[in-house]
Amino acid sequence: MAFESGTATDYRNLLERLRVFLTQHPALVAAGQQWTELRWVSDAATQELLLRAPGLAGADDIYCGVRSYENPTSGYYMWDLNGSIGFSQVDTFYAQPGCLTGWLPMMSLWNDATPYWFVANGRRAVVVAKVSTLYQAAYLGFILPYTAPGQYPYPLLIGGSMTGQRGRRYSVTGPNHRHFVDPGEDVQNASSTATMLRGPAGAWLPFQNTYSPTTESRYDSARPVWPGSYAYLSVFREALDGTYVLMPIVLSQGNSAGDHDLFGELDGVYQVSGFNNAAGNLIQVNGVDHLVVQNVFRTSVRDYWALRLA
Amino acid sequence: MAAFAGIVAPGSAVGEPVHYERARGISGYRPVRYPFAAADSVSPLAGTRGAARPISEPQRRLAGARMPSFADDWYHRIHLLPPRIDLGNVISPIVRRLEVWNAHLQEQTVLAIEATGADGLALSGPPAPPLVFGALQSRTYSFSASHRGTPAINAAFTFRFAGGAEMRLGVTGRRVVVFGIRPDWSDGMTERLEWLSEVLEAHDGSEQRIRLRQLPRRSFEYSWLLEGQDVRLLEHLLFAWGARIYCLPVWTDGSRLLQDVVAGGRQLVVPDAAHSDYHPGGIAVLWRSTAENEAVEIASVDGAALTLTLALGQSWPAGTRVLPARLARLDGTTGVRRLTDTIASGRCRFTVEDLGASSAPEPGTVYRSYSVFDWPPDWSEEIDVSCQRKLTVIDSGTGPRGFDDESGAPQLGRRLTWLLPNRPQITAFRQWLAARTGRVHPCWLPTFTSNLQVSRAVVSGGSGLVVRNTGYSRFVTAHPQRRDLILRTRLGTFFRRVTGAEELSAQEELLSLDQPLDVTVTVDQVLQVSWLELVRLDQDAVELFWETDGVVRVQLSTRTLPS
Repeated sequence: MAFESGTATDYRNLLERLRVFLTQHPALVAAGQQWTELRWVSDAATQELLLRAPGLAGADDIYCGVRSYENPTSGYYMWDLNGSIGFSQVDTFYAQPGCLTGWLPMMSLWNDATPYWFVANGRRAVVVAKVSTLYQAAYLGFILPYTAPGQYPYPLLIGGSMTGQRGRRYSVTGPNHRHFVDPGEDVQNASSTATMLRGPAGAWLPFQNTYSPTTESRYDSARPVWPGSYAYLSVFREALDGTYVLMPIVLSQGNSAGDHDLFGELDGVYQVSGFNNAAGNLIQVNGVDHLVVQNVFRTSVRDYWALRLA
Repeated sequence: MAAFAGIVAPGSAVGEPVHYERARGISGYRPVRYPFAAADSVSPLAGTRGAARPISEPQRRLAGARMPSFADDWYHRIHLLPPRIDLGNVISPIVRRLEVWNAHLQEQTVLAIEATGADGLALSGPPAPPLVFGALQSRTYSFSASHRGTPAINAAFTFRFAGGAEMRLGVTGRRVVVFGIRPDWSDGMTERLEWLSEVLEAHDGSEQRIRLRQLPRRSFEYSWLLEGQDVRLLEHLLFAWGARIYCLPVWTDGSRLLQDVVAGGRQLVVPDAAHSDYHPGGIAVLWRSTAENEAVEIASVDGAALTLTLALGQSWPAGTRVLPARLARLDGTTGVRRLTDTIASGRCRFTVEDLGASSAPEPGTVYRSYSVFDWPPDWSEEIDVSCQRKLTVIDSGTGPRGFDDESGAPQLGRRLTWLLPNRPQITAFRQWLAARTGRVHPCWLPTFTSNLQVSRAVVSGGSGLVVRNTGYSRFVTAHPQRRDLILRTRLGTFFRRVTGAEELSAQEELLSLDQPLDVTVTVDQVLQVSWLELVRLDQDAVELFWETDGVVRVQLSTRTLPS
């Protein structure tokens, strides 16, 4: 798997670097897992990047896209994130086959120096970008489903850090500005969220853990993301020997019987305790570094996750 | 990195300006008005924004451990889906889908797929090994089973991977052939149902009965008379298939197709399906001759319509015989008598392998928590009654003999014959028989004889029954084996218990009933008064003798129990 970190000059440069990383990174090329560029449009105000990921064995076709645009007057510089089940040359970014419609998961960036971390393999890419002292993130590609491919062939997750329903500056605080690992929305069970999964039946399913713009109340929604939805996560600490436990992030769905169905877990992304921890730390597990990331501006114990840098 | 010009606005750094100052040369103050003199303020300070971002932050290195999850169990292995295939009865070609998924995050190579016992089975689809499965790659194989091959299918397909890993797909099932030799109805056909029970009898005649077998064994026995090609076919069938499992049409439950059915159809409409041996998961046979027949599997039975699991292989015209079928083995010796060089007769006996239980409730009214079976027997054969005592003779040989009547009551045994003239009655009788489970479960059975003769009208509300004196009050008087009666009248049938008896005269005696009749019955309205006995079967095996495919003769032995 490929990993790259550096500093982009602004949000447009960040996308240019992601494009080069996904399509040309030597580690991806060596493994035959480089992504194919289907569309690259770069004009004065916007950029459009549509990609196809090959899967680990080159036997999959995973369609994702990023579109950047800005509004200097209002001060926002955005990436819209989307996924589809195919590619149509004649259709716009927002009208690809089977893509997300309406509000999309997005990243709210800025027009200034942006440290970033890119991780990718043939199935999925994860982007972490540091804007001022905030962190933005995105997940594009397949999760690791708890089923066989024949049962659930297209487990595509489009995860961002902003839902887009409200103000979009990176300075927005509230449940609509949360990472895909512990997503929220200020209206309960609305389909606008930073975490959208294409379910086994082919419908896009929203996942949410919090609501209410003032209190960020937690609730066991129709589709919570574990363990962010877990009520006692705020007292979760490191182990007695000082090591930090990285917990898988599992997408679940409440069913009518009162318990939960599990779709699967995110690849290389884990919940970690923020106790005595800080964004930017590196946690080493079996010789592999994991970057500690905070959930946008939040710094409480429950608001940290780790990204495998390999 | 952008650099912007800026100013620092004048503020408190300069200090509060003096609002009044004393004018030189005069004693007094004058106000100072804006703008101040340049000397009162400092010049704005120009600044630039430095390119300090990104700010480097102190970074710590921590140790961690990853929490295992279901993904650790589910991934990092090879999955065969489904992990085993049970074909059931292969009576027509079957195709199933097999998914082979390399759930390792690294590629795996299949070096070979080894098959054992795979006669008539085939895997197809992806290229032949050696074949590389990429990380998380899944391939779908098509698994097909032909109905030709070994009778018992116990095959294994082993996927041998580089590195030594093996995955084994077990396949089980069986193939059956239709035993299409039809019976010679001149001899009828015998169906035998055998339960198994143990009866432990106490000194006083009471008993404990234990059911030992979950389902009754079932067998069919019939004769045939064949000619020409059919004889040769039968001989080869017996020679080659021998003791294996046959698909035996249940000849007693046959009917005919009312309409043509075409190949590819999935529906059969059979008259009288409710009273035939069709059941979901079972087999039906379309039969035109010994050689020309087809077995199909039934998915569901809905009224007269049978839905098949697979489409029909060929078309059949209206009038074709349709029969339910059971899997059966030939039991014992099958004799073939050659009458001429082309004609043969013989008799065969099949034991059924796929037994089923009757889930239907037993027919009949319930009296004192046991059902009453009041179907009159066939009087063309007499009812034998035996009265046996549990009598022990103590004979030392030298002195007088001693006798001990252990239970103090006779055991009445009866032998009854029923003739069941139509299919609904046969079905009801089977349900009654299934509820008996051999000797285990008793029921009420009238004696079917006129045991008492009513001599006076029974008034409504009266609880006494005056009958001709037969010595009941003198000898019997509500004995536990002889106190329930069935009173058949023109106004209805009544079940009553006799609670006491009293001799009125030499001609009449009065029986007290536990419950009065609610109608007035005159003497000439009484048809028959019979004792009602709590009986159980005195045999675990019952033979249904099919005179034709719609008429059954049954003979049963019963014995009474204290009620």
